[in-house]
Amino acid sequence: MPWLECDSRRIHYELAGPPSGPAYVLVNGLTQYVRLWHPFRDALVAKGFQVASFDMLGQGQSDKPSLFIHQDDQVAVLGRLIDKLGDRPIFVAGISFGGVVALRYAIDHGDRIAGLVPMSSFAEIPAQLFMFGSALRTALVLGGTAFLQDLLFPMNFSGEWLHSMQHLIDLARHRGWLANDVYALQNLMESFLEFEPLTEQLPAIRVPTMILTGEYDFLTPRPLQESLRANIPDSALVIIPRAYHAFTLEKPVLTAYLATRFAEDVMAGRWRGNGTIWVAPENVGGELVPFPEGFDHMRAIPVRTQAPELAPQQKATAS
Amino acid sequence: MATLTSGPRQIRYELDGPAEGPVWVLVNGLTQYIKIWEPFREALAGKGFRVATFDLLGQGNSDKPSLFIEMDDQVSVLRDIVAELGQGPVFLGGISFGAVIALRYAITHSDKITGLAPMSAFAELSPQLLMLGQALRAGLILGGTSYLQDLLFPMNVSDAYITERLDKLADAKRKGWLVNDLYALQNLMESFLDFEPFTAQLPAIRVPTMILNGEFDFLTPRKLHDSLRTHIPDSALVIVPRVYHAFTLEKPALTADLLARFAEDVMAGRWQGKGSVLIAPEEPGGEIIPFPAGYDHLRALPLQPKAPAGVHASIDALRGPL
Repeated sequence: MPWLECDSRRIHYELAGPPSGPAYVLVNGLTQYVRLWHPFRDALVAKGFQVASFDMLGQGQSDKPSLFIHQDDQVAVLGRLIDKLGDRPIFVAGISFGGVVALRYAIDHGDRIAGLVPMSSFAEIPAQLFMFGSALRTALVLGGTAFLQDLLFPMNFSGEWLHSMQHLIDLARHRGWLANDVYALQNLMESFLEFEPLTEQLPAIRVPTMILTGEYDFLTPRPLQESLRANIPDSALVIIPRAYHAFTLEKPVLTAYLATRFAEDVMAGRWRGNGTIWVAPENVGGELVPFPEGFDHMRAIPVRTQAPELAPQQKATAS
Repeated sequence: MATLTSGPRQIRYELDGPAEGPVWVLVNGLTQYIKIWEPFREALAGKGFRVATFDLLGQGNSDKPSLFIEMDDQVSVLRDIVAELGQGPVFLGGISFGAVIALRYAITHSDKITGLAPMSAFAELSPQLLMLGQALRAGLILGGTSYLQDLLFPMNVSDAYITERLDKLADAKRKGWLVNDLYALQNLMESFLDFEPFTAQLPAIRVPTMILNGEFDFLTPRKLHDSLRTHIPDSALVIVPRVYHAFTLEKPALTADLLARFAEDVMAGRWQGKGSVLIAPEEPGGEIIPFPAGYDHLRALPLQPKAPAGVHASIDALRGPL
């Protein structure tokens, strides 16, 4: 099992796929660990990517400092892993919490990577998300990992998934307790609640960026994704149909398919972000379609975007 | 404020507005109490309605049995309230938890009411709602009323609403602690987690029914409201733009206006539910429009169920970035 030394700490990471050619680095969400990427990883490896995933400080088999983890420390760990991969096209994809770490890396080290995929991510914490974050932290303090998971499950997944996975949810909980240390997790969360907005630094991200969001994600809703799209120059926003917050777990193969196409388009020089908005297909192999023209992509009902207001004399002429 | 006796228990209720007017009975959500309906009382009384509000068992000034409140007990309380209101037209509205009580009452007592408005309602628990409900109950046990409120705020109202009221949240929470008894609240929640779906009984609701659902409500999402629409014969689903679960708190003037218009339409014989899907205006008095034809009202994207022939070719031509 490979380890990275990062300052005085040991980071557990995993490499899969061919050691040359393009690589994808995957950055975990809050209560995640390397193993949860396996279906996603296998789909990327099958397309010729080497895939690197790691447990953040405090997660899984990496060191679990019980106090004073900073977000900077996580960004430094990601940097160390990317350096390890050498000089080749490297794509970075991160989910939620991990998306923020990936965004922060890309702001400072855009030259090291070929493309960025923030998934269910955010660059600022508005009041609603702050209240959710605070309440989730309190949940961890009051009821431990088990209660945190009980809250996260219905926020992260669709009803269909929760229903069909009922038999696996106890196992997932049990594994989550095994892999997550309460104090380390609390510190991870703490490092996010002191969040300084990144919005103004987003224009420094110079690499092609595909922003992925779930159609029904209410934890990091569309206004937060829109802020990434509006501020990252070469970005496109892709909405994954019927998905919630944790679509890398609910739809790993579809998400890996989107990540593969993005990387292939970037490497072939075909990628044009242009701040465009797309709807992903429901199945692997399907086409992305442009978000229907003339509709407001921030709404959950079909609402026409406002036509520019006509001046009174124009109105008179028009009638 | 008046008190009535329901079985062995005392229920606090309030009647406002003209005594001879048609009545709106409004049923509280989980952590609510009479005072929360104040803007509705004013708006509806201003349009000639009499308004009846009350604290459910366990809430506000009503008795707070600390064990074994059943949902049936709350339905009985509602029955006793309606019995106080005389023979004129009675419209029944309820939010969330209170909407379920209103629906259950309407199933067995359709003959007693003129119209029904379930808001943020459900007749079955989705896996998500069941898990969220259980987690909210655990939240109450672990962290008390205060923590339950911390969880409910970001689920119930929009970011804009929270942002505007950050300085008033502590005060709102304090009032919640005052009127909510921990054990009574726990029992209220308990009575819901033994939930038996009543979807199959919905066709027994024979009165005009306007189902209201917030555009961004994820606690009781559109699918649950659509189940009401497809099972209640004379119903229409009205989506309230930009709001979350607790839109009676976030948009009281708009919601009261929708209730008044619904009752006026029913009384004038203009109401035609027909299982239609509509979109409410953003402001009181605005136009209620049909959900755009050809679009799937269960989606959070403007998607047409089937793309017309010929569209694929043009989409291929548009393919740029991906």
